[in-house]
Amino acid sequence: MIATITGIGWLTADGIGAGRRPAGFSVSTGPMPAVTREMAFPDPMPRFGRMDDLSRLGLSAMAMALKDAGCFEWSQKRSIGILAGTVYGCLHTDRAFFDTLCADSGQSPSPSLFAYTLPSCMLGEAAIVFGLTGPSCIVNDAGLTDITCIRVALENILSGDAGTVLCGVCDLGAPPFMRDSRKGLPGAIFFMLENHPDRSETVYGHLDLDTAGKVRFNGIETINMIELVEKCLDSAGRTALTGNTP
Amino acid sequence: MASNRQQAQLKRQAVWITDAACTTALGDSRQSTWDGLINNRSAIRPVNGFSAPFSGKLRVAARIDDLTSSRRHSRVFSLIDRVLAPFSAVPPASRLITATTKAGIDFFERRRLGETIDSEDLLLASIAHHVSRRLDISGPMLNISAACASGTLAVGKAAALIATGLADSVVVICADLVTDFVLSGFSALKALSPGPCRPFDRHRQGLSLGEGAAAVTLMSGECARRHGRPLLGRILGWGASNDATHMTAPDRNGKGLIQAIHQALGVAGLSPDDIHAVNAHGTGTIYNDQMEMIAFDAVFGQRPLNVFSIKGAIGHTLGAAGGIETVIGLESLRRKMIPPTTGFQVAAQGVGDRVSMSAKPSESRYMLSTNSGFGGVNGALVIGAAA
Repeated sequence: MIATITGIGWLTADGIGAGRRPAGFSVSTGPMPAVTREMAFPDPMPRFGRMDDLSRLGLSAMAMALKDAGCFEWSQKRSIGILAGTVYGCLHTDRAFFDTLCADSGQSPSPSLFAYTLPSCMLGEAAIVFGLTGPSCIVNDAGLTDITCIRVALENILSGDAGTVLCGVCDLGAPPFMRDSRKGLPGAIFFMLENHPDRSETVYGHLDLDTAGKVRFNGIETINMIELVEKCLDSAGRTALTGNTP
Repeated sequence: MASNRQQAQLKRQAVWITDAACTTALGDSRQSTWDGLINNRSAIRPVNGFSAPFSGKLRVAARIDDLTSSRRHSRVFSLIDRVLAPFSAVPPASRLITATTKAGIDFFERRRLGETIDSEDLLLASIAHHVSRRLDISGPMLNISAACASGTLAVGKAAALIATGLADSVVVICADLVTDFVLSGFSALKALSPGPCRPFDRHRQGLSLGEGAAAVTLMSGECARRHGRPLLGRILGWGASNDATHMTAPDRNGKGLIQAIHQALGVAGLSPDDIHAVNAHGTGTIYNDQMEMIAFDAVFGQRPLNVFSIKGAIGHTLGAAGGIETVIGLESLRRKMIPPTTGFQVAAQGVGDRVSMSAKPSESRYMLSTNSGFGGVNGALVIGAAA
């Protein structure tokens, strides 16, 4: 066993939820709901309104996963890593920034938009909001329909580079100027992975890598993030809603 | 992250660098880039806006002017093909890790300005797909995006895979371009220097952007022997952290960078006293350079330490910086020479005599290489000489 899953959170076109909360889990192709601070954060948070859409989506799902794992509240920064997969990243923000650049022949591009033209800025926001000082990076092109980011997180834990990782995927879907691709379904799912959880009662199950590098949940190969959520909920005696998009 | 004691208990196999190449505005090869650095040449030049709507915006950058593009290919693929030109064949089962912040951002601009282009090349992962086809690699691939520390984290991830036996051979490719999008963004943040940047200098006024790419193959010793590859040097340690303080500015106390350096030293099994040379991020911005010196003070104290930055010569190559600096760090160890910091003249407060405008001989067997970036990310590598 490399790690255990201690928390799950999601925000998809079908709504927001967490492993131990009543709302069921399902994923459809959208459209995504408008993401508001109140969905996941109980207290006012001025910086939420300044964030780009990718950050709002990602942080909301991360908040649900942290709450589910009992790690939402904090007073001291924690050495927890963040790893997020994305296919389209911040292309929506790239477009918004470039439009400010084109508006007057490059005279006044928006600095606040430019700050969000790196997908890893979502992780910077999460690090600040949740007090997470572990390694953080984005991996492409890892979406809801594959398991790459879980594999990478398990490798990081196995190599000793991380002990606890908030790991998941976050995508707004294909921007209007790109061909649609089912690789990048809109939505965000995050898992809390811990190598030595001191709260065994909160464990959904165990994750491993087999010799071929395939991800196994409780010993069974798992091929994408949606399936992993469903297996976790099954393991906890809960069921996902039917009709999830593979 | 495991504690230093836990790190010492983890059994790791050696990670060898068996191939290393870079393409920068100083030249297409490791040799030409090194020659330019050692001779204190800067490739940072005045540039105009690149696309019609932005012409007339005069700035400076280290651009590689003769990269080609077409309706189907971004300039970044020309850059990658160029860095791979002298690269040896790699085992087909190698894993591939690429690092970039904006990949084919020139394509994005052209599309928004009305051209018809292949939009899949806008995705950051497109460079990984291009390289896997180019090198005929069948192993797992991914692109890492961690702002200006992307390259460092990619090399560290590759090293970790080999050290833990999860891979025998990993190819790392890092690349980024300078375009109107990138130049205008940094300009909007008021981060650009009006002239070529001057890292660690009292009169520094900001950073200069540069284009570049690096290619590095890492192998286990057994894999290198099996494929008859030279042992150029080692990746001994790696570390990464997040400041968790600010989106675009570093932690002024350098806590995140200190954490990353200590992690890298812990993995390497070295103490701060073993380090005598540092290839710093050294962007030339007020806050970055100050933060780095505070971090170096905290880790190394006030003892003599050779610190240099190559960004006054080749500009800040963003996601490629960590890869290029790995190649140059290796070259520095191999040639027993610390390159000058181009653009540096008068030490800024806190720099002391760590930074020099002249090349210096060095017997150091280890090189610490550091990067930091937007979103509070920090990365550190410890590179070891071959013998």
